[in-house]
Amino acid sequence: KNGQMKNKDDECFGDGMDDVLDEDFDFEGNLALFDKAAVFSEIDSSDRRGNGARSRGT
Amino acid sequence: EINLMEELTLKGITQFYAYVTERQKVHCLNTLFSRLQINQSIIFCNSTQRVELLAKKITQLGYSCFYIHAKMMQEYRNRVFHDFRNGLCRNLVCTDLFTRGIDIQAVNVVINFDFPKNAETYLHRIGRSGRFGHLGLAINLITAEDRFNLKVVEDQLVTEIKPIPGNIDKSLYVAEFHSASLNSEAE
Repeated sequence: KNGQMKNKDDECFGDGMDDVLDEDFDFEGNLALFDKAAVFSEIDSSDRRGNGARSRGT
Repeated sequence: EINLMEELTLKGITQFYAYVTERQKVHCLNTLFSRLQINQSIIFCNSTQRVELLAKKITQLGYSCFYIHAKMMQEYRNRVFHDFRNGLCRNLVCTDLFTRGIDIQAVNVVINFDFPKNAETYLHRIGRSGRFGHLGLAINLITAEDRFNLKVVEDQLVTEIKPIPGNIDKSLYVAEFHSASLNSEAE
């Protein structure tokens, strides 16, 4: 688990992104990769099928 | 000043999300800094380590920031927070230290650089005490992993976090753009 966290930190804060920083982040293009309504209804239906792991503790 | 019974509300806060990967988060934040009219901002991370790494990045990008996290001495934390409250710095990076919500009027933008793991934490980060008619912006950086927590937060707090528009209306969060009608309503 700690290894996973370290990977995330490396990805997030590592070098290699400085070139793109002059350009604006493409909000619209990235939002198009995430269909919130579809993702949420998928989560709902997998919960209904008795895959209760996700709702644990909530 | 501290009132534990005061309920936190999301009223007056406009909530948006941007969809990102870990690798894109700093780039996304940099663009937000350049586009938003920030009076003061608070930026939340999910670990002490990430607070320190992000504060360093933000400084490298040329923005001023303070940071505080749970592993600092309480006395030192208080001093930094006090200085931030007095406007000595525009941005504060931190972990979850506020259990009563943020009661700094000058903070008009809160950014969840890391999305919180549950609804209660989200409310503590973003919510304001109902006493103030506060307008503000909450921007959430959402990764694919965060989709479950995003849904939990929306469901449990009965709120909607919308996709970030290309152009954010300044009257939603910048004091001098508040309409006269809103000002008279708050009185």
